Amino acid sequence: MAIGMIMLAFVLSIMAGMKRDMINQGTSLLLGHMQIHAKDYRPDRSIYDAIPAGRSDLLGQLRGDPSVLGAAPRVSTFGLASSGNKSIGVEILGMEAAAERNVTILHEKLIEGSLPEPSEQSQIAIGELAAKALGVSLGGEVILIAQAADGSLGNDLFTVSGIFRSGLDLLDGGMAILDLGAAQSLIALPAETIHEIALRTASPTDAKTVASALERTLANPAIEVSPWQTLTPELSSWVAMSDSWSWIMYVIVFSLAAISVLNTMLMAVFERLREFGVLAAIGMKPRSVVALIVIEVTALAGVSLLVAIAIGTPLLRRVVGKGIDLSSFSDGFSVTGVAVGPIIRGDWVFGDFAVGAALLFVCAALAGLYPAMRAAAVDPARLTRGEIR
Amino acid sequence: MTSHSKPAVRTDSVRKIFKSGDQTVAAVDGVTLEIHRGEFAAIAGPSGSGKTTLLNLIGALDEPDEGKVWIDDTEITTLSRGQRADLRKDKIGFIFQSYNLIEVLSALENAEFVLLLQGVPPSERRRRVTEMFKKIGLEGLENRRPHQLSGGQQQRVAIARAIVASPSLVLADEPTANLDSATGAALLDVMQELNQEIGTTFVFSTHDPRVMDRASRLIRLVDGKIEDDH
Ligand SMILES: Nc1ncnc2c1ncn2[C@@H]1O[C@H](COP(=O)(O)OP(=O)(O)OP(=O)(O)O)[C@@H](O)[C@H]1O
Ligand SMILES: [Mg+2]
Repeated sequence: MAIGMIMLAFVLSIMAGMKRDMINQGTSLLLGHMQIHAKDYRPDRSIYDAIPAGRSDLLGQLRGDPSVLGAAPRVSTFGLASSGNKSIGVEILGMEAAAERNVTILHEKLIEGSLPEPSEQSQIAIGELAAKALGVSLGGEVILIAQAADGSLGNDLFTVSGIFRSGLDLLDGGMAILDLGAAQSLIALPAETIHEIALRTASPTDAKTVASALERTLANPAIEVSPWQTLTPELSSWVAMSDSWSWIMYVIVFSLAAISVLNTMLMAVFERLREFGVLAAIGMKPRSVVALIVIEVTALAGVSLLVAIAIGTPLLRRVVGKGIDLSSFSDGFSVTGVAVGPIIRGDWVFGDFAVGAALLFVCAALAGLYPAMRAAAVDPARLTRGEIR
Repeated sequence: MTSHSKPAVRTDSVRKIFKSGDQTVAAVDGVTLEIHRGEFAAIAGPSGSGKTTLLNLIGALDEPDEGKVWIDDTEITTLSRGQRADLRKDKIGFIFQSYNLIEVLSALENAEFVLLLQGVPPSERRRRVTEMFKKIGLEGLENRRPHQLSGGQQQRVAIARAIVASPSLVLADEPTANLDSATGAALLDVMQELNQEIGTTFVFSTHDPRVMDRASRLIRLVDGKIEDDH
């Protein structure tokens, strides 16, 4: 039973850690905790559906809001990147490097150079797969062609200022990052026009409530604030799935604990039939015998809990502190568009574990009930007849 | 046997029938008797004559198929399992052939168990058991576990457990059968002393003629019937 409890704490911790990592990674790479768009922008992402408010005003208002820790304005479109005779389709993201740093960890994913800054010669950052496909390296030149807002075909020459590796093929092979101003001029948008503002808040877990509060504050029916759960339904369904896995774990651990209690106590009762016969003979009531065994089981569960805490705490401290290194198995993997690193760190799960342990007590007591009834049913007359050894 | 005191136990034409396969055995077959307070009665008879079965009936451990059993005016056949347990706890002490002490408890804890069930407070329990241990020669062995005691000592602890709560009646099924004759005789001395000093009522079964000689009353059973009672 102690093993069951350790297992429970262990798995809950890892699940919570993975969930935390998934949400953090999923939101911090590019998404942000929530995004602001024009109402019609998603899911078509037309360049004409810009946020119907001045960029400076809106950003000023957002940055003054205490629930917003970072706000990054963006424009976004699709285009063709080419170098020499090679070309690939790309998603083009125009951003402000300084603002982006407050919202996402894009800058941490650069393996060479830096994010594009406003400059004389327009800069571009591409993923390492795209760089390979185009045959360019840092300092190389890339031509971007994209449909502009005025109906013309915008095209510009960019110098590669940075190469990133996110672990996601979609980004590493098909994303071109530009400075916001450069992107706006490529697709002929005025400086005040943006498509998206990515936001970082205190915690991704309460993104939903913060998003709707923000929407109310902005009070513009043409603007919507979408939490990450809406932006990546895959991630939020993964999170929901991981929650249901936690439940399955509960059920498994509880069943194991209940079976082990049932088994142990039944054996113990059969070994002690004589004792229960004596207790009955000298006047212990059947229901006192039941109570006796239920108390024994609960005490057993208590000892198991102490053992579990004694053994489990240092184990968990390791899992939470250093994490479990899976790098010998894989370099990390991606789940629903989120890269998970090869080291999985757990999370402290006091609340969940306390509830689990309490339920385990109830479970143990219930499982002890049947053996208890068997013990209470021992006929003391069989003892004196010598039928119980 | 005539006595003016109320009987501790009375049976009226009790029968207990066992079926094994298509054979039925009347282990106790129409026994009517009264045991009075202060008696030191032996039930004797050959193996299979029904001694154990009769003791089970008058100890409210088993229910008769026919007839009635009264313990201190309480008719037991109408009682529930729980009520019979309470009756045993309050009125009857048991001494078993194979001691049947509880292995995980010390001698003192074993002896005070019935008092515990009766809800006697700890200090009072301890006082009464210590006094009893002194009386029956167990002084100093209070904290021993059953396996650290000899057979005779274990059976004395069992006697202490049976009588420390001052029951109306103490039942002992072949209490000396597992003991050598000297130890058995010493044990009987203890029982006899308690019977004479504090008037505890004893009913015990035995095969052993030397044990029967000690009894103030000898009930002989044959095939579940009383053959002789004097
Ligand atoms: N559970 C039972 N099932 C069937 N028959 C039984 C059962 N218990 C006792 N008997 C029978 O009832 C009769 C009386 O048994 P009991 O144990 O009372 O005799 P006893 O005088 O105590 O014998 P012993 O001196 O060997 O202890 C015996 O014939 C025995 O076989
Ligand atoms: Mg017998």
